[in-house]
Amino acid sequence: MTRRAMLKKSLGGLASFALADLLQRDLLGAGPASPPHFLTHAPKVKRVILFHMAGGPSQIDLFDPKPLLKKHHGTPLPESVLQGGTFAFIPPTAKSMGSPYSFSKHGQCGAELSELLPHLGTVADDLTFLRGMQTDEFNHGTAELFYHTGFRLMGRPTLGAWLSYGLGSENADLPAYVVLNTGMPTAGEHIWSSGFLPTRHQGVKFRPAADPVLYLSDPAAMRREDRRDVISAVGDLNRMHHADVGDPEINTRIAQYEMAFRMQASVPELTDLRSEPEHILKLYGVELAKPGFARNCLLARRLVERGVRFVQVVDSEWDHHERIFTGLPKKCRETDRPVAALIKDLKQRGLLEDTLVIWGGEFGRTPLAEGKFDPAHAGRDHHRDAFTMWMAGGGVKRGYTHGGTDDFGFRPTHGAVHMHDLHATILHLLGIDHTKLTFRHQGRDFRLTDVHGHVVKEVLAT
Amino acid sequence: MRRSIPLRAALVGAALACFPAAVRAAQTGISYTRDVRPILSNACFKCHGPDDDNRKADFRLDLREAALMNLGGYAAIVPGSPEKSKLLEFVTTDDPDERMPPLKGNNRRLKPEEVAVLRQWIAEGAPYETHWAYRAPERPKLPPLANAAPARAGDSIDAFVRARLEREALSLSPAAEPAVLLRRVHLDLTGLPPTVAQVEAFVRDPSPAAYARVVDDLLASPHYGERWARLWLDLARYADTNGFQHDRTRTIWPYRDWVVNALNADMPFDRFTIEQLAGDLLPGATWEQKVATGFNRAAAVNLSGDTKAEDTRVSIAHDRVHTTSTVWLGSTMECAQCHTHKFDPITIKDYYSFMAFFDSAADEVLVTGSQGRKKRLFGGLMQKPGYPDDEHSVAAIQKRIVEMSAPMLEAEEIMLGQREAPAGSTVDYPARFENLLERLEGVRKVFDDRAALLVPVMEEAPVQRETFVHLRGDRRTPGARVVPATPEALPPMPPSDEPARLRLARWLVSRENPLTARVTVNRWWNEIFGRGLVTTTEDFGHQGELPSHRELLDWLAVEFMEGGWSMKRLHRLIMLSETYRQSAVVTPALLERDPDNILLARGPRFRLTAEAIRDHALAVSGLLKPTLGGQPVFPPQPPGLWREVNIDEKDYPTTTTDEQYRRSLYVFWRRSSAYPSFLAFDAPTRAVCATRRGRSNTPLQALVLLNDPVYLQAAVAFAAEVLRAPGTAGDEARIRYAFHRALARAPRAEETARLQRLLADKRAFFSQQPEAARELVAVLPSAADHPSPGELAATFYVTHTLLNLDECVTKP
Repeated sequence: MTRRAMLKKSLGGLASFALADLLQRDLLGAGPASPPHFLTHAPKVKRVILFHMAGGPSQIDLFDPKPLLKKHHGTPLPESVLQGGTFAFIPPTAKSMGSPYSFSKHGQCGAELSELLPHLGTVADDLTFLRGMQTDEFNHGTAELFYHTGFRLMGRPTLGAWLSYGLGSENADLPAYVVLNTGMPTAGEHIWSSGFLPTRHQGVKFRPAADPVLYLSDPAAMRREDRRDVISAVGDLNRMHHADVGDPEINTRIAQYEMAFRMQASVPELTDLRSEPEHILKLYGVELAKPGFARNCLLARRLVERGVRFVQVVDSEWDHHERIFTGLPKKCRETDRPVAALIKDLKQRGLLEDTLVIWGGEFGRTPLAEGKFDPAHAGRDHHRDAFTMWMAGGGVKRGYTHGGTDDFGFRPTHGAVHMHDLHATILHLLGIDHTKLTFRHQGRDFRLTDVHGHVVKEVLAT
Repeated sequence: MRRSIPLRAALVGAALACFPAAVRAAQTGISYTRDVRPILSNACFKCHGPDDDNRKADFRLDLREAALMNLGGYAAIVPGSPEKSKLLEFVTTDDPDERMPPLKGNNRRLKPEEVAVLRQWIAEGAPYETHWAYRAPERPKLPPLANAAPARAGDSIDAFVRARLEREALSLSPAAEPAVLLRRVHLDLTGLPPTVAQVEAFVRDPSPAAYARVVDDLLASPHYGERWARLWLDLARYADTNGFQHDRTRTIWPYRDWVVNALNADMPFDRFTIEQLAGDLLPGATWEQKVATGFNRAAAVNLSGDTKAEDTRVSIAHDRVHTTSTVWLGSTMECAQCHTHKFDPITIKDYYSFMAFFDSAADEVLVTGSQGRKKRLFGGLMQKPGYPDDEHSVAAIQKRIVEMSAPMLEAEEIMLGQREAPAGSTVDYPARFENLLERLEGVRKVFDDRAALLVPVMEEAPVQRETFVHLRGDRRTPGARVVPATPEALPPMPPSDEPARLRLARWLVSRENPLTARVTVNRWWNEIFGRGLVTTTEDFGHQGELPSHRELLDWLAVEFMEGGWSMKRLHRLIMLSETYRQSAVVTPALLERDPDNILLARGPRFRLTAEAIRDHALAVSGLLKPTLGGQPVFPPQPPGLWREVNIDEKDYPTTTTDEQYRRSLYVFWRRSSAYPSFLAFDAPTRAVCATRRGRSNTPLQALVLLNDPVYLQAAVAFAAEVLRAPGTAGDEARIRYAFHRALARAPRAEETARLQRLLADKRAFFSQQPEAARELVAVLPSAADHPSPGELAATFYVTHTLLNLDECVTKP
């Protein structure tokens, strides 16, 4: 068997991206395929679940207790703290607003969490909190894009697309990059775009509808065997035509029809939660017939269990400009239990060992009030200079808090982590050197972290 | 193990050009542009190039004078003396402190063969050249031909292609089968397949004269403009909505119709350019000339609540710079928005001087709601016929909003304690706020109700804005003031009394401009052959790919300009060339030698665009409604898609009449939720200018063709046509007819046999299950009462299979 024939066989034509490339490589006489140069060390994790609580959760009311802010309640921030901060809506003279929620210590690590997150408290010992998160943007659209692509405008690939491109899929019957969403963020589908990478790397959104993937279902009057017959006939005729014209693209198309046929079985199987035992449904708080965030958390586990590389769970309506003390508790009631359940469930299955979970918004919220200054009406504006995210899973410290902010929670005093740094760290945990995973576009080598990004060594488990 | 190996993108584009530069140089002499500059540009110019702010050691290598400068007893380059040239020492030394490029980031050492190129170049005197694309194209001499001098149109193209092939010891492939060629040329010129009768006629007489007549007929077809408008609308980032949050509808389709009409009329490209960029500034501008300026009003507009009004206006101006420079200059000026370009001679001052052409447009984003959360874009809104003749003209609405907006915001801020009330004021601010807000909402509602009767066009602001350099790309840190000007590295714009934007348009299409014609013909070449002569259709700068056939590109560019900028004339030349007419059949040996068909030793074969795939299926099935122009249509799409995105208009107004079967060009384009099957087949979102599309091959595409209702309906309608056609008694005749309709060719015996087997299977099933047949064909309402549903359903399996073939969605 020639090497090319062997490559074709070993890849089964499924990984068309890989195949075309390996053949190209062969033609160039580049020698045997070696691991890509950007895989510089052993990976700690194989897959990622990334939460995006779009709108910007309030770290002041959830993760970052600030007693002194309470003391200053109702007064503007001292100029020494403010130092030219800019906001989307409020003037710099807006009043400080302490959190009305009580914070308590959880687990062995004693992480302080607000009373709005009782369930997350039960897994605190599995988490690393990043209290000094920073981003460049303070408008939703641009900040959301920044969270996923490291750039403020549309057109760049997202983290998931980079990983699909760099690492491919571990499951031939499912896409490498799946998106589950409740509501839609401002930047829309651009936050799972492949940007300038080939479009096969874009996130595939599973809809909470009868067809999780658009056009997955055959017409009701078509039996499964009828569909099989069509795929076979299409394949046979395509093969005959390939014998005539020799275009290798035809072989790829044959393989993609086979993949589509398999997805018609694998996706409904995946999204059918009836096979889950009662205690698991209860753990997540999933009601079988009901779409929603809890269901997406359970689906995320089922996806990573099947080898899907990157699962992006997007939730919305965290943008509490007004009535934050009604809106935020509501969002926490919806999401606290299922997120904690996911951590527990991954852990009990041993999946947390080689899966990375990230939780956060595109930015946080101001310690300053927005709108009418009374508990019934007040809200908080967007804040890019300091907010909290957390991560959990393989290669990351457990029960650890990295970084901290000033007495007003306005800026980090230590352990600042820029979004670029978070990206670099995620890639590092996957065995990738973030400076080496590049793609040439418009004459320049682009990367997720542009010319920035440092791996946050302090959060890596030793 | 299944692991993907990422594309080695850098290699893909240059698959054939990638044998070492040193080898090529030895054969043909060193060329600065081809051999030396790519090495210097990649390894050195980032720190020793045009960018003044980031230059290291105050030393630049991109200008000969600077590179030769005495640096205190030595020089980086001493022409003719490699051994005295410090540059070679720096790139070869093992001393990590001395070594260039320094060891960090993605830097790598120069390869020995690259060093050899530099050494030989210095030995030959280190000559520099202006970048090829910045020198005006001259008509190159035709290469000597083995046969006689060129006799027919298209022969000149072949001469260049042949000469290159001969150098590689290759030759053109034989001509494509007549039926294949006919389908190809129909798809390229009109985007629609030939009819069975057209195929039969051409197969009977495939003579060159008959072929030339076909080409001329297709060029004269009104569907020509529809097919080629798609490419132009990708460039114009044309869509029916604003984009971003809210993503409201705008009435810009008259501009789309203007493009179709202009292409059909073969409007010369220079006029085509001038009317779109500055039609409003032409003396006595007509309605159409103003509509044409929709090109730059097609930019996405961000009216989300958290974006400052002035940021929105400025980002539109940036978009116009990017789009205009990409479309006409093949230059990604984007980099120079924040800093002087590191590779191309475009300074940050050039960038903002270029932006000044657009900065004075009348765009004005006005706040129309509480806390600035609601905004509308004014400026350059032309009232369509039918706009009520009352006190609510656009100008009147705009004036009233301007009057109320700022006082309302002031009252609100005072009410919320965010601002001090003026000393001694006795105004009841909450009351004032409520009053103004209510009135403002009322005016906005009138405006929104009338939006469908307003066409966005370019217009100059009454008072010229002053434009400043934005340091680091931030408008809040203005630098020096600039006036409208073209980049200094390009030929100057002649002075005149005309408005600046009009002068820019004229300059872009002047004979001296080295880029416009090249960039334009290259995009067409990319569209027709699947690969541009310059593969980076958006970038003709230093980091772009070099042309595979430089002389051919220049010849086409000059021919285009001297042929009166006629697009149809140029398309005709290409269509008549042997290069275009050759067979796309590829042998394993040729595939191995030239997988990307860079050398053009075979004809083009690649997947159709998203729109063309749908149009093709509609045409084959007989469902297509071929009327031209007018309002967009809303063919059925899965329910709820608009509810899943963050927009104001949640209900998809499905078109239920036969208008749903109009060409894809007329399908409503919502930026935040474009028609799903278009996205599956690589259509851009139209958020920004796109010069070429990807051609992915995914399982999601298979699912679209298998189950999107429009393709199921097409298969049923197609099956009904097969049963209805005269002379189609018997399965073999039916399959033969269906093949002709879908693929414009006769089936081979084994293909017929395979489909006969499928047909027989399904016929047997439906004879037992007539209800299943009825249910299946009912996807097309008009087929619900078909006289023989069983036969129709069985035939559906044949037509459904055909519509899913690779060949069916591919230009042959």
